[in-house]
Amino acid sequence: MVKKRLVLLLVCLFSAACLNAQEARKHAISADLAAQGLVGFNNTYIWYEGADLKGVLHVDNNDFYLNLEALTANVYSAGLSVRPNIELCRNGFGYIDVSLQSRFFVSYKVYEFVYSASLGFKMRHFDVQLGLFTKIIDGFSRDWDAVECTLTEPFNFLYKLRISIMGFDNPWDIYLTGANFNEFEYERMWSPLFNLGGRWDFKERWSALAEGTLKPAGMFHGAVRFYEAVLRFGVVYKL
Amino acid sequence: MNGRDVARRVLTIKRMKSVIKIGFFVLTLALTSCSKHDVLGVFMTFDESPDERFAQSMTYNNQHGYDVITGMPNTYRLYAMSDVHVDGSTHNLDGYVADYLSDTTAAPFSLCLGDLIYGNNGFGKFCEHVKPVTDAGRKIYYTVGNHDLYFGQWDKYYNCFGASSYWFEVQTVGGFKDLFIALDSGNGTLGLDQRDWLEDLLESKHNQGYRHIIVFTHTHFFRTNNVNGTTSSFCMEETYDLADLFDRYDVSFVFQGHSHHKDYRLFKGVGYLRLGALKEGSDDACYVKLNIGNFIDYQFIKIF
Repeated sequence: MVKKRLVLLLVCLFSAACLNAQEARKHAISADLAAQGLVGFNNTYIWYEGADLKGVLHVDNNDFYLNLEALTANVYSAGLSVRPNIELCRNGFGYIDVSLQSRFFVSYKVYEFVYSASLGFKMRHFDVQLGLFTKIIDGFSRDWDAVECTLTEPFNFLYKLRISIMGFDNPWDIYLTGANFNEFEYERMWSPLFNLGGRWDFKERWSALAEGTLKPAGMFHGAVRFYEAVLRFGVVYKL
Repeated sequence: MNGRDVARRVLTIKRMKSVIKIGFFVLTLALTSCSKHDVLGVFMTFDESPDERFAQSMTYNNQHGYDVITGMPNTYRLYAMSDVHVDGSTHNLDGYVADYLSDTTAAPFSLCLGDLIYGNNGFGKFCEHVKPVTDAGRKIYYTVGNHDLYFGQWDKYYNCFGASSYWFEVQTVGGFKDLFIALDSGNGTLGLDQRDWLEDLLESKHNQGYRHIIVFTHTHFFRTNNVNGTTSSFCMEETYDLADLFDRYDVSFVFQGHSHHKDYRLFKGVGYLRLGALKEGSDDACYVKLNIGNFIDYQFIKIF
């Protein structure tokens, strides 16, 4: 009961601080909330479903992201990102992205923790992001006398290229993405994720999203094979 | 439309033609490939899937059975090599064969973790140069690597070396038993059927009193340093799934190749040993000698 009151109090405090910042200090504050359902198939989980929640708080030119995901394969993700945007030219923004992300593979008694830093450049039809991330892999539920359960995979190259056919500010858009990460997972440098997605702003504050993701195995073995396909459907509400 | 607009359009058309020509050249290169790099394999493959290769391996195993090697000393010396990439020269492979055959205390079997050849049509040459091993009554256990699958060469591999997913057992004079399991990870994934077979096999074997269960496969599991070049590994989910299987069923060691880098890590009680490469022309070409006893120790041997 005390915890619920504490959470409620914190929510109220946060809302009051946002309103104060908007009205008294003239900061531009807005937020987007997205909820997505997904269904996927891969060689490891076979069929699985899941839910994603994404929140973005825009304060002037700075974005703060909170991303949560739960899969029926008993995998859970939580990530935080901070992204200051800098206007570099007309229609062109540069940004710095710093992210922390955890992913828990409960069935496999493993979790990973990722920290990343990247630079990006975004235009109306084009978004490119390059950086580095380090992944720490650890086991849980280990024996009391177990040692050396932690592995570090340092300095993975991080990349994303997104092409918007209609432009990200158009009422509807189709986009293509090639990257080795998304809001919920960070793959190694040589395991790209390919996305084909669409967005439709069907009401003033509401958008619908649909996205398909393909993750091949062994692409840079030069012996590529199917590994995973995921379909996501969801809505975005602009606060 | 004035003259300047016309000139601009002509220039644009010329540039587009140049881009199309370059694109056509790149596409042609990708589709035809050269005899060493199967460029097309980055985008698509038309040969057997991991499940199809696994089915063929099981057919082979059903016809030939699983080996049981008896009468070994309680501690025996095992030779293992990976990523030989036989192309023009066979200097390193010949060095390995000579070292192995001259070691009278070595076990009568050794391991080869894939990428026997580099490009197209090298299996004949490879077999020719390891023939002294079979002539001496010794055996090499193989598993397939990605280079062995280039240009649709699985059939040739299968005809030369047989199954790529199998197990064999080693029995010592002191009553110990070690289980060796070969996995086909040539595509960077085990596929659905082989993964299920692996779990069933470990489930049925792990309580049968084995001293060690040792898995060997081509693709490495962890990217623990940043010098892996262009070698990809398993996807993260599959990495964790297999690491959990190895942990649950008390696998002692997992031998891997593929990255061409030597490495050893202990994760959840399982030792992950990357063998390095015996590749021709490599400055630090090496193989591994292991002493398999109640404990397992290893030594990288450089080929000069």
